Amino acid sequence: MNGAHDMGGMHGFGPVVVDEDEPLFHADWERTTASTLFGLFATGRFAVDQLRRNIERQDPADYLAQSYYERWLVSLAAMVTEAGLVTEEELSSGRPDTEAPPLPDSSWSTTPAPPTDVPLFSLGDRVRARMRQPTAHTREPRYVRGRVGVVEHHYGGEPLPELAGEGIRREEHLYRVRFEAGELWGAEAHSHDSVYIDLVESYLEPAP
Amino acid sequence: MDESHEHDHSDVPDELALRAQALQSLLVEKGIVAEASIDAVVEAYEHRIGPHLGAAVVARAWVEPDFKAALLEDGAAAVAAIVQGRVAHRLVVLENTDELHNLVVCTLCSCYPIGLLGLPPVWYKSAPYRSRAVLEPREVLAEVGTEVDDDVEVRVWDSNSEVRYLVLPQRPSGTEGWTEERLAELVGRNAMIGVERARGPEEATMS
Repeated sequence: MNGAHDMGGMHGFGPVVVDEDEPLFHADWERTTASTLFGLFATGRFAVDQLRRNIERQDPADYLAQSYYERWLVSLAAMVTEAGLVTEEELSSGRPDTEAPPLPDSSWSTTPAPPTDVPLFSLGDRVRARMRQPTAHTREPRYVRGRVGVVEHHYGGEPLPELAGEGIRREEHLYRVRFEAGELWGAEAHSHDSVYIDLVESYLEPAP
Repeated sequence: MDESHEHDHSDVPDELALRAQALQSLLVEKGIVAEASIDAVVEAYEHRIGPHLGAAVVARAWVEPDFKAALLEDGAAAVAAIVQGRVAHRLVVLENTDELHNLVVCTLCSCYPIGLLGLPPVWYKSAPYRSRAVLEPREVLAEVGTEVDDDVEVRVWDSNSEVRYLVLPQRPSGTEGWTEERLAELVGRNAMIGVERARGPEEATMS
């Protein structure tokens, strides 16, 4: 979806400030949230894309106002309530008053299997990232849509993020695509520069 | 309800803390998440997993040409020889040279090789870095003190898939004959993301 998280190429956020001595967590609740997340994902029943989807589908103003771990907390709560594991009332009271249903049947702990179909693209092929406005979770950022690049590598299978965001697993071919900076940003971009990004097959179409 | 409540922003962290604790307690009490697994991963990031692991990989690549070749060929397989535990299903190592500077960003969230670098720093997750690294990498690099000559190619890697990217920085001159352990001390996390270079021998910690 075209959310506030899709930041590549935006202006106005200010300078990059590198803090050499920051703590791992800035508050106890951040550590609690991180440990909950790692514990939940250790079950192998949830996809990272489900976490991402529930972060991205928030009101853009809320997303931008939140800290990193706050986004995790919001998303985790959405994930477990969506799966029926915990109710919003329980989250408010802190007391369990329902039995949790079984965890989702899916398995995300195994490595992606190669898709059985033949890859559509070969190394050196010119491809266009599809111009589209998906309302589902996607890993095709806006700044590459409609732009032409060259296939540099074929990785094998990767779960399609649009489905993984819903907890459904289906592998597609994953390619590394090189885009010249000028193709993405215009003639003022540095002529020696490029952006490399990984795109699954359904994000791509042949380019002349 | 107390009218002043919604204006009292000091309440906000407490609300988060309560909700974070409620979420964790509920998942454990309902048997969804094993209590033993709750702290294990976070403790690993606190005590065992951090940029020193990536630095050891870089230092080995600097002194052993065969390891470097293997690392560039298949990062995940090569790293498994010196780092315990799963680092990434796919790891691509990007070598910086006199002609090429690689820089890693995740414009959509915060992906990077946490198994080698630990949890990502705030600046890597921040809107300024995520928005600008793909659009104006040279300006971002200059801002953090890394000048890249005009004739050097800059490649930005947007880490949007489950593939993980690690930059192999250039070995600083004046380190001939150094041991791997000493070399590793020159390699900071930011150099393995590509925003900085490895430290020179004059910046080495006097230990």
